[in-house]
Amino acid sequence: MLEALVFATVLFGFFGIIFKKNLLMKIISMDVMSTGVIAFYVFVAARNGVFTPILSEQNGGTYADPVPQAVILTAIVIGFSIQALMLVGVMKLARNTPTLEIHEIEKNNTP
Amino acid sequence: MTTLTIAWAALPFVIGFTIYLLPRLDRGLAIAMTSLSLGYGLQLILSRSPLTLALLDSFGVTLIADSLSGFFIVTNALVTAAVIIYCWSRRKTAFFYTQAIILHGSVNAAFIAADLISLYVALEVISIAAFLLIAYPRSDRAVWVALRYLFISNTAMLFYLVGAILVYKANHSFSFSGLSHAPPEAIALIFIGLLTKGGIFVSGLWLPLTHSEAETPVSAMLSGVVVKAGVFPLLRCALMVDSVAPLIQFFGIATAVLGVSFALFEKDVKRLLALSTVSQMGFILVAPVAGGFYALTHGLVKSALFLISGNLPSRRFDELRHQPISAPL
Repeated sequence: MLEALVFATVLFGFFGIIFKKNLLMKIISMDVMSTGVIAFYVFVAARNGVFTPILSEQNGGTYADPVPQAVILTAIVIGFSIQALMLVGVMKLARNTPTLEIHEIEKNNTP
Repeated sequence: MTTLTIAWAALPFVIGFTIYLLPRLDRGLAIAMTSLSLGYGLQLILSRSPLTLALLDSFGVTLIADSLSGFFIVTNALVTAAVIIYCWSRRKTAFFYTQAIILHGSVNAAFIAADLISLYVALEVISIAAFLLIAYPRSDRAVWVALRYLFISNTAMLFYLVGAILVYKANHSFSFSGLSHAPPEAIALIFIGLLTKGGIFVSGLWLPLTHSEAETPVSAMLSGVVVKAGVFPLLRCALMVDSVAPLIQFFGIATAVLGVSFALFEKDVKRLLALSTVSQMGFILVAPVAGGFYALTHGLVKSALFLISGNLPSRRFDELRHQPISAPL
């Protein structure tokens, strides 16, 4: 159930990227999609248990897997910096095409 | 040798930021870095004994430097050096050289990475550096083309990440060799990412516009080495995991035919060259064992062609037919 919801988030984000006509909405959709991917990593990490992976006697070995969590931390940072970069580009484009509609930008900027 | 490899992999990033701090030394430092990479790559080709590094832990970063990566590293070094020499007297700011060297370093990192996550990091750094290089003229069109590139590559890499965790789920490891036990959906998702990044088959049709609209030196770098960062992992997978090799060869043949058939109808010099890149990437994938050498030749010739096309009076074939082309030699 949870897995299906996570995949639904990824797909909603992906279709948002494709079908939204506004550049800003596309970037937000991409954020939704990357949130879905991050949630999937957390979901996979929590297969064996949800306890913090600190070695102790109490939890009986039901730790969350630390490796996917460590990996997704890198991916979160990269995703966030890419989004910041994109928003800077969008700010530049917004000066001449304030509506940020895709077909208008394409009409102005493709040969 | 281990220390040398690590130092060499980290050096471009240090040099890249040093160039920005000391703008007066920009071109000299950039050329020094590329010649260092050239030496390292040649040494890898000649030594014939692959070097495998597992940093940190069994889950950590795995690097493999063998003669296949040697060929790609030599390509990268020569193409970057050619671009820097081309820009030598063209008044580029230090920012351009910084990005060029960081791009050079991250492409090198992609060529020695042997696990899915270090490859992911390298590919994302490549997208960022390539974005900044394409957007370098700061005109609206350049920013739009660069944004489009970043959109495509980031979405592809998100699919790739989902594939990577599925491989981890099956093997408890992110290394390439785990692909043989991975479920088919994991391989499909990883291939979506890499095929898009490498500009192969239908997912590579974003490539002509980006490569033709970028500035001449930038498109030489994009076409010469950056697409190979997506192709190289596929080659390495084909060599390491027998079960995916036929699939990769099928994509190779399909791309080779598709790229050429699009290129036949092109009327623009740079678009023609970009579409030819698509088809050549296919040829690299068709024979994984010889792929390294083929990639070297393609990288050198394609970047030279792009740099020459920058000096043509026009980009359209029908105008070129009526205009004399100045020949300085």
